[in-house]
This record gives sequence, C-alpha cells and structure tokens, in this order.
Amino acid sequence: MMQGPAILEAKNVAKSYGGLKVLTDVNFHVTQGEIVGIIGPNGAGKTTLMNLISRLTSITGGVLVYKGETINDKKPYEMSKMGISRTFQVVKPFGGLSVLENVMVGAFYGKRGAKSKQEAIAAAEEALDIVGLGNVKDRDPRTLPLAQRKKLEVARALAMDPDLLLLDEVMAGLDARELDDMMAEIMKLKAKGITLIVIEHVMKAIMGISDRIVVLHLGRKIFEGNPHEVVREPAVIEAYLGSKYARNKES
Amino acid sequence: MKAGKGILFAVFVLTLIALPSLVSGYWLRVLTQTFLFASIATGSNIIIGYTGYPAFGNIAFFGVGAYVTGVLSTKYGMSFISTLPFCALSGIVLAILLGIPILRLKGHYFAIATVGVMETFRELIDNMTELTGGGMGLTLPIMKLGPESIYKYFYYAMLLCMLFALLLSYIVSKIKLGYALRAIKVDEDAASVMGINTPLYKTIAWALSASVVGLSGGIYAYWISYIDPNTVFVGAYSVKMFAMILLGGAGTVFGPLIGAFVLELISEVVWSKFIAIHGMVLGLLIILIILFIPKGLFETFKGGFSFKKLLSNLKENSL
Repeated sequence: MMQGPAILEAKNVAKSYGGLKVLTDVNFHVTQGEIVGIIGPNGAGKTTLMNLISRLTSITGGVLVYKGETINDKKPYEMSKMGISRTFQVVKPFGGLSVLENVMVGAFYGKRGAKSKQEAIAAAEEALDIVGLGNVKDRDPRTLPLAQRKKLEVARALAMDPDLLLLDEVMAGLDARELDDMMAEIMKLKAKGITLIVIEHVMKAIMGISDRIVVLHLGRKIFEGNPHEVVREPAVIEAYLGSKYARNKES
Repeated sequence: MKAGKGILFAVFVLTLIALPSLVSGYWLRVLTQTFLFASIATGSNIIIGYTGYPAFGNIAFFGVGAYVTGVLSTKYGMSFISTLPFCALSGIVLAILLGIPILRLKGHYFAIATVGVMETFRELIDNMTELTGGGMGLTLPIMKLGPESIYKYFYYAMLLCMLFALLLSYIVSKIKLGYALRAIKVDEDAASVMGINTPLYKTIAWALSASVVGLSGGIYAYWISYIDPNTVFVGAYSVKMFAMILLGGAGTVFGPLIGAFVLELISEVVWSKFIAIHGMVLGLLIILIILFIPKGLFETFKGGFSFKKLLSNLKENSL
C-alpha cells in the first residue's frame, strides 16, 4: 500500500444534535493518493461525516485536520478553494444551466478558479470527457437519466481541480455495466493523483476500488482495514454485511 | 445575444427614442410610468429571478431613493442629476447592511422580512418630520422648462434608467457572478460546496438590484414633484412588480421588461377606467400566470404561441 503523508486526519470527531449523538469519537486518516471506502448500515453517520469534512455542518467535538491545518471553523467555500470537492447522494444539478454550464460553475469557483470563460469552458469540457458526458454537454441536466446525472456530479467536482474528492453513493442505482464504467473512472481519477473518500453500499464496487475501508455503525468506527480484512471481521458481518454475505464470499 | 434578437432590440430602442415627437403628452406619461416599472422589475429580477430570493419589499429602496433625491434637492440645494448617484448608493448601502441579517432567511421568511423593512422605512420617514416633511410630504423643485419639455425630459431620464437596468441584468447574466447566482437559486448547499461564497454573492445580487430600484425612485420623485411616505412605499407596487416578473419570466434578461410593458399598457388601455377592481384584476392575473405560464411569456412562447402549451401547463400545475 502507498505510504504518503496524511492528507486528512479525523481525531475523536463527534457530531450531535442536542442529545442525539450521530457520530462519536471517530478516528481515521486518509493518506495522499489512496482510496478510502466508508461503509455501514443506514443511519451509521456516513453522510454526516462527509458533511463535516466538506464543512456543511458544524463539528461538535474533536478535530479535523486537512493538509496539516485544522479545518473545524472553515466554511464550505473555503474548503473547496483548499482542494476538497464532493458529490451529493441526492444529485443536485443546477437546473436552468446546461450540463456544460453546471460544470463551469465548478471550474469558476473551485480550487481551479478559472479566470476567464474560455478557461472555464476548457476545464469543463475536459471534466465531461473524463466521465464520458461530452456528447450531452448542451442538454438540460434535469433531462438526463440517473446514471448520467451522477456522472455530472463527478464532472462538476472534477472541474474544481480537487486534491481530495468525496463521492457520496455515486454508484447506487446503476446497472452492472454502468457500475463497471464508474469503477473504471474512479480508478482513472486515482491514477491522476486525486485522493478519494468513497461512501458506497454496493459491496462489489467498494471492495474493488478501496485501498482501505472504514466501517461505521451507530456513529462509531467499528473496524478499519483492507477489503479482505473487512469481509472476515465478525463485527462487520454482524453489523452490516450479514452472515449470508460472508458465507457467499467463503464459497 | 443573437443577431436577430439584437436587431429587434435596437429597433425597439430607436422607436422609443423617436416616440416623443410623435405621440401626445398623455402617452408620454404612460410610457414613462412603464419604463419606471420596467426598471424596478428588471432590477429586482437580479435578486428575485436570478438568485431566487423573493425580495417582496424591494419597493423600500424605491421609497428611500425618492426621499434621497427629495431631501438632497430641497434641503441641500443639489441639482436633480447630482442627487441620482446618491439614490443608487442608498440602495447599495442599505442592501448590504440589511443583507447581513436578512439574507440568512430563505423563501417566505425572507419575503416577509423585506416587507417588514419596507414598512419600517415608511414609518421612519413618516416620523422624521424635520428632514422629510413627515406625513405632510415633500414638494420638490420644479424644473424651469415648459410642461412639454419636462414630459420629454423625464421620458428620456426614465428610458435611460430602464436601459441601465437592462444592461446591468444582461452583464450579470453573462459573467461568472451570474453562474453563482443561478447555482444559489437551485441549491445553496451545493453552491457553497462548489466554492461559491454564498453570503457574499447574495449580498452583491441584492445590492445591484437595490441600486437600480433606488435610482428609479430618485427619478420618480423629481418627475412627480411631490412625495409622501404613502405614495412611495406602496405595497401595491410590490404586487405589480412581482406580477411583471412572473408574467415575463423570472431569471431571464428581457422577461421583466416584457412583463412590465404588457401589464402596464394593458392596464392603461383596458381597466384604468375601473380603478376599484384594479387590485382584483392583478390578483386574478397572478393566478392565471401561475396556472398557465409559470415560466413566463418569454420562456413559454420562445418557439411561438400555442394553446397546446397553455393546456399542458395547466395539466401539470393543477392538483
């Protein structure tokens, strides 16, 4: 496994809404250039963790360190300038703007900070080509099928020129072929040197692409390891995978 | 702008420039009023249509602009033209100061807060009798020109104001800022994560919008030459402004202008004789717009008029 410096570190990170603890003392790190998968049952706190890293929600305990800097008090738009971009589980294309223009927003305001329209268009077209949406760039994003709207989310994040990319269930709802497609694209991003955190329920995908997997359950980290270790860990099988999955894997 | 559209617009502007030598004083007055509302609607469209923040009480900036010109020209002896930059500036400064607390609100809450702002300014100005004349109002100096020339003067002043509003709106739609505003309109969280400093951009949008509305207030005050709090902080103007934006198409460059011309000219010709039901007709019109052309005239009939579109819109919008 790659051993670079940690790009992101979570130290005892916690989030609670009043008395409701959504995340408790979560510790993990992400090394430069790797893909870290985050899995866990519904309500485990995966998306909340994403929201904390992208700074959409306030952190109620612990520290998040990104590129050596504490980011607890940063705003989302500051994080994007520092090289973090993300997709949303519920895709959020900007209606009224074409596919290309949607991606241009990322090029304008992300870390790339395109100075001119030409520069933004060039960056947007490159990002669309990477995810294979070059042929629908003039469409209204609301008319695209789900798989393409998910790719649009990725393209928009890519146009920002991220160092750390958070993917929130970009593979849910895709058919087998689209899934293979998306996995190949994620591996391409890794090859370009982008560090990724991937939330996913599709086990085939998360096992196939992750260097390490963090397992959350009821707001706590219950295990961390490489894909092989994760599927053999009794606590993970108990909480998330279920014994049937484990038996299938064995046979 | 495509060439065809550009030519159409140039013909439109040239016609408006030529009109004063062709039509009577009555029609000059009607058109000046139309330009006024076109300016207010086009300016307000930047915060309402582009950014998705329903600034229902934007007329507050109109009233303040009117009083800035009123007070500066009567109490400080400034000329009409020299007061105008201060009208625009009053809008900008107020929108920035008010935006810091109010732009945190969304949707209906923001709309209601802006109405509160408008009522607050009406009361404030009503009670600052020393400076503003309070309920007695303020009579502005009359220009030393013949009545004919005064009509023409304000016709052209208001026309310039409208063209300024259009230019501003057009530029905003084309530059980086315009993309940010439209992103904010759809999803503020997503916009923020993409690196858009949402509080800053919302404030800029409101300030630009307020500058136009404030400017139009200043011109209006000198044109009408007498103002009091109840004639410039008018709730009904807000309704009219909204109807125009909706009718023409929120978030488009030319929509609010088209809405203003259609509504203002129709209302002058058709129901100005029935003042009592004016408000009712406006209300009915808003309902019809929302049922039949929710995207406004501009978007709905881009490819030509058809009853089919009206019916399919109705089907989509009825419960």
